[in-house]
Amino acid sequence: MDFSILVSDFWALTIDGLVVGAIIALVSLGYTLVYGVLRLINFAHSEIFMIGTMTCYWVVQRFGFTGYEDPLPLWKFAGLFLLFGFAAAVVSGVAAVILEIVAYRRLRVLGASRLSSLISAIGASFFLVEVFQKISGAKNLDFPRLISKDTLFEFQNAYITQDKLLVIVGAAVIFYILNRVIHHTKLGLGIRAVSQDERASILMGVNVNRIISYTFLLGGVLAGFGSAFYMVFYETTKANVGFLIGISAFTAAVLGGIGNVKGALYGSFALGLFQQYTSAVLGYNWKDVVTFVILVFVLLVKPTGLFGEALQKARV
Amino acid sequence: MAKLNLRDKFGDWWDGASPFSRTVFRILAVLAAYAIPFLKNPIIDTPETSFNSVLFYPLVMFSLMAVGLNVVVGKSGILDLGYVAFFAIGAYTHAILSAHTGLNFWEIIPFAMGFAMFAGVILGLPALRLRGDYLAIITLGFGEIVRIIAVNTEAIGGAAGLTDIPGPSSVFGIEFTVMDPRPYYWLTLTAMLFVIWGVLRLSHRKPGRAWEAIREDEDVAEFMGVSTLKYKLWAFIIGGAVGGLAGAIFASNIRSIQPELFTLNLSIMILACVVLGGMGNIWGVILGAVLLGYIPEKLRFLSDYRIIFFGLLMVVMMNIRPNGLLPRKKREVVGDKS
Amino acid sequence: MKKIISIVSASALAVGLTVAVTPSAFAACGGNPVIYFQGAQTGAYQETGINEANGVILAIDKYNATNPAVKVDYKVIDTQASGTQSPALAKKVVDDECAIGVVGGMYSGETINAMPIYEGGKVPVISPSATNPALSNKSAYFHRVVANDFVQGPELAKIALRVSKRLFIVDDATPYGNGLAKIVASNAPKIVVGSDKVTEGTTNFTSVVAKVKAKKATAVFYGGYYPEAAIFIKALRDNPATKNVKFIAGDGVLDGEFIKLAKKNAEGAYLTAPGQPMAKVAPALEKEYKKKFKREVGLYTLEAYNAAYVFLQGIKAGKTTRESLNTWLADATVKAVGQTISFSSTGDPFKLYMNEYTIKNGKMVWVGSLL
Repeated sequence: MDFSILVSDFWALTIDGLVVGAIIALVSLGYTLVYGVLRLINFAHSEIFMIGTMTCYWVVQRFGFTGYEDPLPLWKFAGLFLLFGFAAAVVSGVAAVILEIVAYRRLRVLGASRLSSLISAIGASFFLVEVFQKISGAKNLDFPRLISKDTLFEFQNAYITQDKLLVIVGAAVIFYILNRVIHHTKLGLGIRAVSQDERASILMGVNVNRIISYTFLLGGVLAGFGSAFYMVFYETTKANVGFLIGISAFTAAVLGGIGNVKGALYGSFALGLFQQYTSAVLGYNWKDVVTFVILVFVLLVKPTGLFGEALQKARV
Repeated sequence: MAKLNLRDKFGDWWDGASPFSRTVFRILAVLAAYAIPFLKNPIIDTPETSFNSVLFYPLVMFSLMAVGLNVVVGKSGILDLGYVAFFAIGAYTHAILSAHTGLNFWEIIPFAMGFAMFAGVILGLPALRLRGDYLAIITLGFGEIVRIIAVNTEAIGGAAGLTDIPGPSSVFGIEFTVMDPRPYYWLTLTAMLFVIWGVLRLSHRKPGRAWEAIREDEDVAEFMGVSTLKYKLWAFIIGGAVGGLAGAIFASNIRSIQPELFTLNLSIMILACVVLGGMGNIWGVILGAVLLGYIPEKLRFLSDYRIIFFGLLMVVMMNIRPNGLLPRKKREVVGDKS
Repeated sequence: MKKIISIVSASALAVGLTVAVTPSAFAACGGNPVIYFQGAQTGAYQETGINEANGVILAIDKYNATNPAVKVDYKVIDTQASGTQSPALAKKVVDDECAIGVVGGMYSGETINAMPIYEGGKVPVISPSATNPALSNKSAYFHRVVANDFVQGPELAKIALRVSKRLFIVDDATPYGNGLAKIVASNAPKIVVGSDKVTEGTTNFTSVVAKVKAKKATAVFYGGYYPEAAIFIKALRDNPATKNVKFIAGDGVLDGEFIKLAKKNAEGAYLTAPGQPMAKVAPALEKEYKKKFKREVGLYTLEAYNAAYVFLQGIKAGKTTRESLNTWLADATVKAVGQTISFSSTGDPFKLYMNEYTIKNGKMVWVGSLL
């Protein structure tokens, strides 16, 4: 136990926790959206994120960076970021839709148990990781430094840099747009309708298959943007990058109340901050233990997560 | 539409068979299982790994664990993503007790199972109050926690793990040596037969009916007076005990254990055995374990493409037979489609 | 009908059983002796494994090209560096009558778990890169051509004492990384100001950097492999407070990929390796390797080559059984490429090599020999 770091570097830990939380949130939303409409854990979602990071890498590689040049001027970076960010979003989105068709659709139509879908997703996850392992030569891929990470200003011992601001502000913009989409568009209405009652939605003439495809698309797009931020912040990826972040994102979704979009968002930030603080106080290696202990306590007090589920209850 | 359903065909035969032919079949099946290590057959032999080693790990080891996990997942419908924790507890119990006490393997087995059961209670009491996916994440976390604690506790070897673990002392003239995996195969097979026997007995009695009720609809079960927490906890404890037993046998065979042997992947693999084979049906679960343990070894000639193919196969098999290769009997499946 | 089914199934089983219990004859080795390589060929650690396997293949091909009396074959077993997979694979090696020796395992964990099997089958093993001290004295059949971490750790500690007064230790909780970190810490206890443990696959080092900063450390030691080390050193350099902290690490980090990932942040890192620099001691062999495999050599390519070379010298001397080869190894002194190899009774090499490297202008530069 060492609280001195938590005191002296509180704001540094907080800023980093927010950055990590924002990236986790973008992945976590995919879990929660799919859970909302299908009541199943999209186990291969972490691989959708991985595909996004790979897309970012390949797009940027086209420009022939060596990694030794100075960071780009801001406008050039903005252009490039939008390019690979949207490319990742599109590729991840499409990959998520294909995943749904290949791994889930038939099982859903047959009305198979949700565990069957889970195993199908695990198979898909193995497949994707190994395929990209093969393509990337099982190496960590290096992403060039595109944006300066020099300190913009110092705040209470915390160094604020452009990339951190980019992630936090960018994620906030995406969350705002997502909120508009869910609450003020027909698609959002469809998603909410299917989440509440699939059968009633069918009776009301909702094309459920299409709504589910759109939900996967939306989840994939969000993961794609998340992967772009991830690449700017961490500057490396590999075929099994999805595993750790996938577990964090899933945990965050459960913490907030799976199926609940707002819950996933707050759950992710809570998780990001909390892990940052506990690794400072207890050591990095204990953070997962503490996280799960806290999770158990939260769920015992509030069995459906901090913000509750969108629906009445989760069932296997 | 008539579908070929081997399980039902066999089930019909079984139901109509005389006690004598049932017994004969049982004895022959058991004998055949024990005789597999003598089967030096190029068709079933594995190309780059020793067949008898593969027979012990992963084949029969996966089967034993899958039968244990089946009590939790298949019988009572609890999604457990942290089964490896019990396996690890069993393995560490054998490694630690054999180093610090004079107990031999056979005397340690009850402790290994006991500690795993205790862990089941510790985890189960709070976690089993939760449902579905919340429980899944808690069990997943538990699996990781056990591993992290093992990595960070220097007293039990830390990241380097424990070495020089003794094997079982000989019984009935059978020596357990590192060179011969067959006795370990027979030992695990025997353990598995005992577990199957126990589980089948339970399934046909009150606990089995309670688990089934819980699996189909927990609220209704609760309402009808089934003490759901109690029976779920028992399922958890029984599953844990089997995991602990498997872990102790595993440690006695491999002789050195490291925390990195007990990762989430193993939990997922065993869960895949259960679901792919056919949740709730012991024979299906064993078939799933045999296939999932055997296929990667058989596919070794594909080298790099092995796991790609394996993943693909999991998706395809699941889509072709959504309820597993050998599902529960039809009448039990009704209602699964809620 | 029922009866027929039961009779058919019963007789089928009976036939199956008779077939099953027919004993199979073991044939003595009919072909050339085989040297196996044990390591990862697929999965996350395949790079190192392929580099080593290629070294073995190069040595054997060169040997066979001299038209010796006994030609040698090679086979590669893929453990994915996993201790659960290695025993079953090792058993198959032991069952192969032609198997005469094993170069490997690549990492310590897989080697520790496979060693009882090799010992039972009396197969001599020479590891090119397993550096865990726990393997010393483990078995009369285990040998290695590299110095173990009890040699590397103190040298790393000396470097730390030389360049810093406040050392922060981080490891990746693997047997290798954690083991090395513990040895470094115990050899420089006065200057250690703190420690932390991460996991393999970690990307978020910000909290570790915050600790390094709060402890006012002037040097960090990282026990682990290059992917995480690259991310860690970048995180250190990006923080103005830890920008100039010295970075010390062992052979797990010394890899071309480290520079590729960390870019200019890697400059000036203090690295050690028990291996010899191939470009320096064996430039001709390095060229040959590049031409043959169309790829760069790896850190332990030379050691793998030499391990196979030692076996080949034994075979050349007429030791074509496992036992005789192993007995021969105990007393042999082999002048291999850039290294004279003879084994002590613990299986460790007598002549130890430990080299210091740094990274300058994006290149790995040999600083000097530490022993």
